[in-house]
Amino acid sequence: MDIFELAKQAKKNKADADDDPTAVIARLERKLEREKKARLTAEQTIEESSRRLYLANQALDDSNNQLESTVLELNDTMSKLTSAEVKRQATTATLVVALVLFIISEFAIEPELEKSIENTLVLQISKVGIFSLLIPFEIIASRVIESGLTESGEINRMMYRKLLESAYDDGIITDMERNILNSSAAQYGLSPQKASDLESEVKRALGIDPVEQDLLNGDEEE
Amino acid sequence: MKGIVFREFIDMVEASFGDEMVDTIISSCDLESGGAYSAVGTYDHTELVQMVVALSGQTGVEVPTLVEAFGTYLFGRFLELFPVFFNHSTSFEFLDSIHDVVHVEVLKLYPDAGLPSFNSSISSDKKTLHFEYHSSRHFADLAVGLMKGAFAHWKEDVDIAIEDRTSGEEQVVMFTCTLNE
Repeated sequence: MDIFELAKQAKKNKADADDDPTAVIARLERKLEREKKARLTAEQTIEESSRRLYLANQALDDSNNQLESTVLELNDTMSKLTSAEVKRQATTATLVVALVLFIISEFAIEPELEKSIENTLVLQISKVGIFSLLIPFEIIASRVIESGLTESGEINRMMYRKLLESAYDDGIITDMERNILNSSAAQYGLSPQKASDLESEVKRALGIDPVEQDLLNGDEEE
Repeated sequence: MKGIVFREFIDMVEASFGDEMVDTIISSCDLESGGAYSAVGTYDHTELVQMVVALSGQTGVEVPTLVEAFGTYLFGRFLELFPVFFNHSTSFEFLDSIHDVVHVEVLKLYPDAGLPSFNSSISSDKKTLHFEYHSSRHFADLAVGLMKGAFAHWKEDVDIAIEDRTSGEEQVVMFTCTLNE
């Protein structure tokens, strides 16, 4: 049965309510007291909840920062490995150049000198002279090869592109991703202009609307 | 038990019997909370039992009748407060979703909530619902009231057969609901 029906029936069996003003006031005061106590409990509960939320948020922030520094570290290691690889290639190139020049001087120039110069002292001086003439050649040749490997920056640009692609994977650049991109661009020796060109290229390739991105990252654009 | 149930009980008594009755039953009970309930708090369910017993003493209406009436009232209030859980097309579908949907959501917000558990199944012709109530709080009458509230909301004529299967501490009641057409 409906509670209101029950109440109606119950009222029939009972005398009328006590309407004495003092009793009414006392009743209302008790009610007020209960309401106040309930409010305090509610406030306490909310206080505790927001504290728990704050702490949980704090913990999330911490792990986010940790993650960011790990990513930066990894990125740093990756670029160090790349530059070590480039250096190794450059060293190999320098050695090859040195070997070629040594063969030329040993088997092509020196026998000619020995044939035409009889004086041993003069011969030795000529040999040293030729050898020292070859040194700048060697230096120039290895510089040219090295710069071909590093200054063209093809590897660096490719690595930056890869980073951009993974950053744009979800269509947006978060603050953390922006930090990593900026520090990586500096590490790869990319000028801000070059970095932003590459970024536009990647965005075009991934079909991300540049206008929308500009609106989102308005303060970060050049 | 969640404070919202206590709040709704107090509000119901106030609306139906008047605030004098609220004052009388709270004063006559020895309540740890002092009868001050906030919807976000958690209170001992025996306080509700005490208040229902006191209300029964004051009104002469039997306790199970009062608890059941409270259940029906509570259904209407839940419907108003949390309409998102009531978008089913029949009462059976709704009752069948309580254990796996509604209570899961309640536990997300209140991991400490001690909820009754329900095993339910709807027959293939959708005419019968077996609904087994398990709770240490012995509020099967409240469940009956809530179910009746649901049947009224979906405008269905349903008979409830009640079979007490309690063997230990926990109250176990099997409700067999049959839809009349």
